[in-house]
Amino acid sequence: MFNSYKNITKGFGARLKEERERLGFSQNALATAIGVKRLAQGSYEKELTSPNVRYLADAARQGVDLFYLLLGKHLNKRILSIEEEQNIEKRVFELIEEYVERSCDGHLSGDSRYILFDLMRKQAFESSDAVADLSVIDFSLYKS
Amino acid sequence: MSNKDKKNNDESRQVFKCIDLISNASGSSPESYLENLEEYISKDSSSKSEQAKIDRLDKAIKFISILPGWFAKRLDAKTEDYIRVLNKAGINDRYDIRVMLRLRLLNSIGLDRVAFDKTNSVSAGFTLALCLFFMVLGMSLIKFSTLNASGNFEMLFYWVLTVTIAYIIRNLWDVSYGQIKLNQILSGM
Repeated sequence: MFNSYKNITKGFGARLKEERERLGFSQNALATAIGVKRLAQGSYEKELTSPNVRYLADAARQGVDLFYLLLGKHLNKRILSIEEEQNIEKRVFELIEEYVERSCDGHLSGDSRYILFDLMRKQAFESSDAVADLSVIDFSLYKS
Repeated sequence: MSNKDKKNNDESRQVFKCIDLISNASGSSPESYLENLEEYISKDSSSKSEQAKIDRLDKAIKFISILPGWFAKRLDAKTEDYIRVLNKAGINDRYDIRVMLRLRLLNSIGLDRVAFDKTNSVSAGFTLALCLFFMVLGMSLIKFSTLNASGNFEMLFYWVLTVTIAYIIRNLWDVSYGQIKLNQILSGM
């Protein structure tokens, strides 16, 4: 059963498969690159079992988009100045520290912190009424 | 499951819980999103401290459950009296109130110095009385026996004395251990 975490949006397995195919990996190749057995990779894609944080961190190193994988959406990043981005990242960093102190007794590995930082930062960047969603722009209009 | 696996699983659980907070928080701007997320994080940590309190209460219940039956009965009767008073005052008979009261009663009647271990629990006074009884019995047997003090009876006396001393030492250790344990539980509340 895929019930270790109810947090991840539905369709995790399908998105994992989609990301693997986008990166041009076979099940066996991605499993080897991450350091798990092919059967484990298959069971994650079928949502029979759930991967742990180490798997996710290694998958991100192989190019898997964790934001899409875990939250089920592509980043529609708002256009921000460098200073605004830095302020957001600083605040995100502080929030992670706060979470670790309050909920994890001050202990969380670097990989886990990085995953949370990446997701929080992207989600904050996306939070806006006026996001720059490039996918909705009809570029054919500019071809002529 | 090895300790390392358990640690990894615990960490994964924490991370996925945080991912849940990240996906649930919302805002119309990055700043408002982060403010909302901060609220979620503080709510989550307060629920964690509630859980820690429940865990401590569970420990307290386990501690109480290993006390001798007669003591638990007496404590229960006293607790019920207190709960009745609290109910009259409009305070509900809640699980944590019950445990708190039991622990306070433990302290108030001085029985927080009860010796205990996993299998047995005997009050320090009772242990001492038992040991003294054996000592007196051993000495009496030798003094008033028509048999020669030397030989088997002397051996028996030394044997009883050795066991008694060992028993006292073990119970003294239990008393101090019990005291430390109870203090830990109480200080966590």
